[in-house]
Amino acid sequence: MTTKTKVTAKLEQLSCPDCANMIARVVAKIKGVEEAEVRYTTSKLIVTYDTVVTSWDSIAQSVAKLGYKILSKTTGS
Amino acid sequence: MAVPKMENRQPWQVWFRKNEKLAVIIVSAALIALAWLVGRYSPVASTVLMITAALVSGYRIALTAWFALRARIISIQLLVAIAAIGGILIGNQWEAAAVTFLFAFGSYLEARTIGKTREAIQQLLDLAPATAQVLRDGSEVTVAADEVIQGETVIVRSGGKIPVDGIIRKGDASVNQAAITGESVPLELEPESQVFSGSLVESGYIEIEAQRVGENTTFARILHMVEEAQERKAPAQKFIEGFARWYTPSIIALAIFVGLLTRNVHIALTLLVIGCPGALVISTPISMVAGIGNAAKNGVLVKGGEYLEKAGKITLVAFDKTGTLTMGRPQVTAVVSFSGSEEDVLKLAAAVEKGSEHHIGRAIVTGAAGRNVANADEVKVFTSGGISGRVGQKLVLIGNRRLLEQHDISVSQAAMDWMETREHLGETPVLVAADQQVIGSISIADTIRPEAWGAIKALQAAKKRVVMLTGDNPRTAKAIADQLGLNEYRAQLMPEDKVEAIRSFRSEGHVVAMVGDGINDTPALAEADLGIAMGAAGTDAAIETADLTLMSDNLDKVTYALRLGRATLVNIRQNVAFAVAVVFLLVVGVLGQKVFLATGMLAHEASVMLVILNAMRLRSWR
Repeated sequence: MTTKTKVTAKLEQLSCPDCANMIARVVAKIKGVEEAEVRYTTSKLIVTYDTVVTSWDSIAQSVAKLGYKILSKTTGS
Repeated sequence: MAVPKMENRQPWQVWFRKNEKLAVIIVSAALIALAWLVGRYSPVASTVLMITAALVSGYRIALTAWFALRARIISIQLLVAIAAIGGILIGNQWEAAAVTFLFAFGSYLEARTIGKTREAIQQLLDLAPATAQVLRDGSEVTVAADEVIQGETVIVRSGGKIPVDGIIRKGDASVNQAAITGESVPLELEPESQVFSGSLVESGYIEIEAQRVGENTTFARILHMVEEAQERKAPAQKFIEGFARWYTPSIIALAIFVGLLTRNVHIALTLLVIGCPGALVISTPISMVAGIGNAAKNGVLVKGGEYLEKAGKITLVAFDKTGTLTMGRPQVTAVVSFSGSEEDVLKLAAAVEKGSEHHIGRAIVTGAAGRNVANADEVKVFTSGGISGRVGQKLVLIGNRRLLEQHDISVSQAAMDWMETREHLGETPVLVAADQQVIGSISIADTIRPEAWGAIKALQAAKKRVVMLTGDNPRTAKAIADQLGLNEYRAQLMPEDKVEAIRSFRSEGHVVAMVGDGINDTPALAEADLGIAMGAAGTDAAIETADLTLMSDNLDKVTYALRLGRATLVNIRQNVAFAVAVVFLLVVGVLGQKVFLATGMLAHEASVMLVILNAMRLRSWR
């Protein structure tokens, strides 16, 4: 069984593409995160991570620390 | 300190939690204003107030910068924080406060405005109902819209929204499908009509057999596609982002270099403030988002911003004829009789054609609807075109002149003349013979869409070359082209010939849009620079292939889409030109010591805001 999971979270509206890139790069550096992408126009964070190494909570915490609110989240394949 | 429970919180605490960013901006603005007021009496108090203002608005920026830096990322926030701290250190508290305040305020306003730009989609989303009334075990129950089971009966009453895609099984209603097709004129729908989730029942009562629910409805997929389209980066955007990636480190290097060389810390700090070409990076995506949103609201699905750009560059529009310029539903337009009544000709023909799959046959049967049509037996279909059958004692043969002559039936001059007249009108006449005698002829034609004339005129007025591509014979093609005021058409084309035609237009240097129904034109749609499929509500294949999909089959949407593309293109160019000018002027202004921290930040934020506001004009463009 795979321990990888992919989550799409809606963030508060971002004001600039740089913020999107910054969030994506910070999240991507969390241990256990395989892939992180932030789509600026729709303010979506799409992250794939290993549930054994890290958790959604620690990812969400990093985003919050950077000062961005998470509005909703869906877990996808 | 324990966080107070929800019910114990003061209203202002609740407000603050929700509007933290706005609160920070207001407090820091108030502090700056106060600092100005007391400045005349107590410079020390003013300095303290300015530093406090910088701390209030800069706190969040510094935190973000710090957390990003810990991940070894140099963020824009870091540059702003360094500029503000540096400003305070060189005794320029006012500029430090202004920089952090303007950055916070600008970001807030920009996010709000971008959110507004995306509202078009949000409005669409609100059209989907959350619950559905379904019949279960004979009684009506309310369930969540995505929990309706395929095949269940959904009931929608006057004023209600349709929660699923399906077929009306009972009742009739006036249905507004604006959410799907962008057409606000309600349709009168009867049993067997297809309905879509997101439509509004203006009056009436219907029972619908659910076919697609939840995420699978046309409506849900439209929303999904619009989101994806808005996320897709156009090539121009990638280029600009590449530029920004190079620009920011260069400016930082320049700041360090200038600082070391001239010992002028003020210039160096100001360079940091303008280190992000904000207006430039936002110039393309924001216009695209607004343009795609406008299109979606009008029933036009755009696969991505680049296609909207392409729509603005089209020089030649190729239309498929059948089903695109015409309704695609052939109808009987005239009946002539050479012996007996016209009524008899039609009834005899309809009797033989009853089971026909051919579009001409179906048109004849439809044309005879409501009349007392007999049954035929011994029905035989000729592969070369034509059909025969026995109706009562009569042997009836329907077909063209060649088929009749093969059966030793002579065609009179009168019949030939009549057929020629009809053919010149772009119609397809067939001969009807009974017992080896031509008794009459029935002419069938596909009706031109009423809006076709206006749409073609508008395209021609916009200096676009308009060409009709058709599989029909040259005579019919010419007749339709003449009626439409089109001087260019290509007839007798097989699907691969249409592809070849598009290819040749492109090799002439044209940017080609191909408009088709998306079913049998797929190769041509793919070959064109811009494939436009129309009337696609419900047909998945068309949505897949086309770059632009018109949910309704209104030709006016073609001209609308091309005009919107043009408007978006112009909007992007305005934004890029403006943003490049701003970047250039700021660098020159800073190095020429005309622009400093506060003015630099103001110009930066104002330029970003102007670009967003300019793009927002596309939202209400029509």
